[in-house]
Amino acid sequence: MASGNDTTRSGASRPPGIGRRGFVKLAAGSLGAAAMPLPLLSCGGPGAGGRKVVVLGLDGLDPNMLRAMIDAGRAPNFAKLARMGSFGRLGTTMPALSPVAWSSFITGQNPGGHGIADFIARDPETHDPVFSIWEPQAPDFVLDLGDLHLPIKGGGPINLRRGRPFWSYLTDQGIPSFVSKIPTNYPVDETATYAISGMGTPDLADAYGMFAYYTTDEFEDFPEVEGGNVFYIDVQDNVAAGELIGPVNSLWTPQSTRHDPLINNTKVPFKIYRDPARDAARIDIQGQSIVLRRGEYSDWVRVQFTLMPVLGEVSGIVRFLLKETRPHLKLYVTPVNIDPEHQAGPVTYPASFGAEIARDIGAFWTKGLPADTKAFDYGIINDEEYVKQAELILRERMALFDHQWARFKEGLFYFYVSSTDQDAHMLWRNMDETHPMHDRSDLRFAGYLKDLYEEMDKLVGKVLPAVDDDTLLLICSDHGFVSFGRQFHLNTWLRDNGYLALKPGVEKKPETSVRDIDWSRTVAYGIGFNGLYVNRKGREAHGIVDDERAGELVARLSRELEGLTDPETGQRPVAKVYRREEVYSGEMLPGMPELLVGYTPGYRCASRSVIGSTGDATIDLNPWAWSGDHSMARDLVPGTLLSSQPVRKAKPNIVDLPVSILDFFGIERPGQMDGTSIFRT
Amino acid sequence: MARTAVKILNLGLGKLFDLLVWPFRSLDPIWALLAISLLAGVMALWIFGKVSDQERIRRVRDRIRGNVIGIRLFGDDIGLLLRLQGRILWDTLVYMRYALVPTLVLIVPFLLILTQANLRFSVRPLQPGEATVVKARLAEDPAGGGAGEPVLEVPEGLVVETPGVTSAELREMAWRVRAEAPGTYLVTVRAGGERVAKQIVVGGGWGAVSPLRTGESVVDMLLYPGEIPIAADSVVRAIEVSYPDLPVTVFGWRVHWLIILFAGVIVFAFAFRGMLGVEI
Repeated sequence: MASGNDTTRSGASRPPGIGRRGFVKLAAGSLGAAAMPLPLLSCGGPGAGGRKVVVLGLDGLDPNMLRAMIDAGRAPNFAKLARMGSFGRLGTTMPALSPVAWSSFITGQNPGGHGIADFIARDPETHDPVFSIWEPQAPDFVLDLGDLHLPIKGGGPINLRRGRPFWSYLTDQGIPSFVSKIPTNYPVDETATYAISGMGTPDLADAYGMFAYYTTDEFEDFPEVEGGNVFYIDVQDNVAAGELIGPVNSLWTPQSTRHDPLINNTKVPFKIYRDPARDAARIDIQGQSIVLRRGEYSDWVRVQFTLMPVLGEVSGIVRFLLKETRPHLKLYVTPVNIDPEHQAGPVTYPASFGAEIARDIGAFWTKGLPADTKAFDYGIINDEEYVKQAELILRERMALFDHQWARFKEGLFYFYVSSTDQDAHMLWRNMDETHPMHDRSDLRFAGYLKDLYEEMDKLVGKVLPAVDDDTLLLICSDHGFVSFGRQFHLNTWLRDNGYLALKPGVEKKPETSVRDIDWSRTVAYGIGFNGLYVNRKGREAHGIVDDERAGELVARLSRELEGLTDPETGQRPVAKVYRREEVYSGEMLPGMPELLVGYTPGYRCASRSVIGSTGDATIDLNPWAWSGDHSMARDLVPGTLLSSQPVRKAKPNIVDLPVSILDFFGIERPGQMDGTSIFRT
Repeated sequence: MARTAVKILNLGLGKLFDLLVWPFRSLDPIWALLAISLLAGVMALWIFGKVSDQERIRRVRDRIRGNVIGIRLFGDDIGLLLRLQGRILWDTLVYMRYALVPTLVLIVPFLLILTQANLRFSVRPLQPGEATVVKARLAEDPAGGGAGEPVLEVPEGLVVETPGVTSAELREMAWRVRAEAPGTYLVTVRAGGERVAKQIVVGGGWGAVSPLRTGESVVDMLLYPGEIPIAADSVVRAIEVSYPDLPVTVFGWRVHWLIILFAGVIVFAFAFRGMLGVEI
């Protein structure tokens, strides 16, 4: 039995990152190295004994909305399952964010144990915001040949989640498991029989996903666009040329990015042949031709980026969207996803599994959060174009389900759907008439989310016939959803109330970053969606608050934040401020934010504040398409739990689910886990 | 005359290869490739034996072997070592001269084998649901209007999803076509009063799949033997269909079919040289 101190560092023994993986694989003359069939994990245990647990992880499935759908007769399969067993709310983590809650599902631990407390954490040395799910590790040995640097040993991404995944206990007992797309599972964990990495999986060029947009319209202006690149192109005789941006070429000494921020990135040229008369275009890239009508997405297109001629290539996949041919040519390209057939990063276990799926159902989105919310937020794609993308993602995910469900015999089948989360984020305002931006949304898609719930009902309908005494079906979500109409700039509030100080001279900047903060005069700062850190002596590199003062400070901050009122609405933006000791325990506690700000439905931390910025307003209108959210006080956005067997525990929590699954297989609760079985009182 | 000969040759070879791969049609393509390698290796060995001066090759190989032994025996005598290495180098060049003519002779059958293998192992048929792009290369700008706008006609089982996209620069028109049902179809490009057909194969694992139907030059006919060439004076110069690559794997490793074919030829040629009494 593992102790609570076990650490999962599933990437530690892997081949390192893109550059080396691509180099080594190709140097070995084998794209198929990744496709070598690996033996199934088998530990000589008793096996599943014919027992099955099916978990549908429907991210963000809201219990209130589902109840309304059931009451309206639009979710008959959910209703049937509820009658068969149980349907209710599922307690979640604070913050109620996917990486946090699903990490608790994976490990059975609270964030103080598994160490993931937000999407964004901070480096205590620099205070810079950092990604909380994984981090790259430099190679142990690099062969330097002038400007060429060949990684020979070590390196690659490392998962930062601690604690053993619950399915590894199944593996110990010889029980097979399939784990598809669960968040915080990048690099993909190797303790399941088959697994596909989920939220947190990067694209080839950037951890969060970088779209590309090519336009001939010089009047289109995207001065502060994030999550993508905008390129202004020329058309001559109906022919335009562009370059697709790939990963940074880590094999060569980087050049200065002062004049060209993308100078170190690999690039693949392509040509666009526009046919304005037919409102269509042809794109030629690496010997492939793609023909699109206006408004169409292409199928996946495989693109090879060259790090080093002959020996070093990495493979990515993209979809093109022809937005317009006349009067302007406008082309959107999705982030370059890791090719599941020739993996430049560990996205499936075994690697041959990704190739097998791609061969059977085609290439698929490997980026952890597939829908391009940034492109939608910044107006690169509109509501209709987002919905088309969302439909493609859902169709692909359902094909993946069908592919795997047909092969499932026994053990664990975990299947995750991101659409219920991402589409609720992006299309909430279309549905919610009370949302302040409702009128500015495309009302043709007002019913999209409810239609999506109907699609989920069909998914449940596929699984229901399999349920019997030996087959447990659990449907769960990590949180619910509410409106996000107004944004609270936490760091601006901290600055205005004397908790956060800026360096002299930067006050005039309309927006500051963590680099502009004067740490010698700052006692508290916000990083992440809910995190509020004390600038603590002995922990932060420039900490000034000692332990004695910290207690008084967090009490004051909690009191003041909870007492705030939005002058425009009269509402309290902050519903509850949680002290970390209330909600966390475990060895990771000292590094966690002292306070977790739980917002009132309708409010959320402003995006810029999430990364430590300050601005003008403390509370203002949320301008983004991202209009539904769940980073509120956890009790106000509970998840959903449906079980084919009656739930006996009074207030089930997401942390109870792994214990319950192990219990169903007759495995005792591991010592590291906090929860208890939901099937026992 | 030459064109007729190439046509007949392509037809005959096509039938021969169809017959050769027929027993392996339900297996992984690697087995058909190995069978072709075996026959090609034995054939190459036999031709090599017939057109080369076997006695001279044997002598020069013996000299090289003797000098290699000399290097092992007299490794401490630098002067002798250099002389022996010089002789080996010279004899190697002599050997290459003796092998030149048979190698040139072998190029012809191997070119024919490669074009037939390329037809079968480079790409795979489309699968139902997959899309492809059909490109028609024309004698003049398709948007020029001289011969009227080219039109693509497809039979049931295929669907044209886009209008034809013209490219004056390439003198091409391109359509996206989606396969709906398995079958071997003929799509037709109608342009300038002419109708030119092109085969599209949907369904099945692997087999003869021709991505390009092109003109009547002898070289084109040799390189693209899968379909009857288009008449030289046609307004349609070529029709191309994009097919996905055929993955050929060896113990799970994806390897280009050309490497497998050549490796197989070498291995089988060495394996049978004793049986056929050929010195290579």
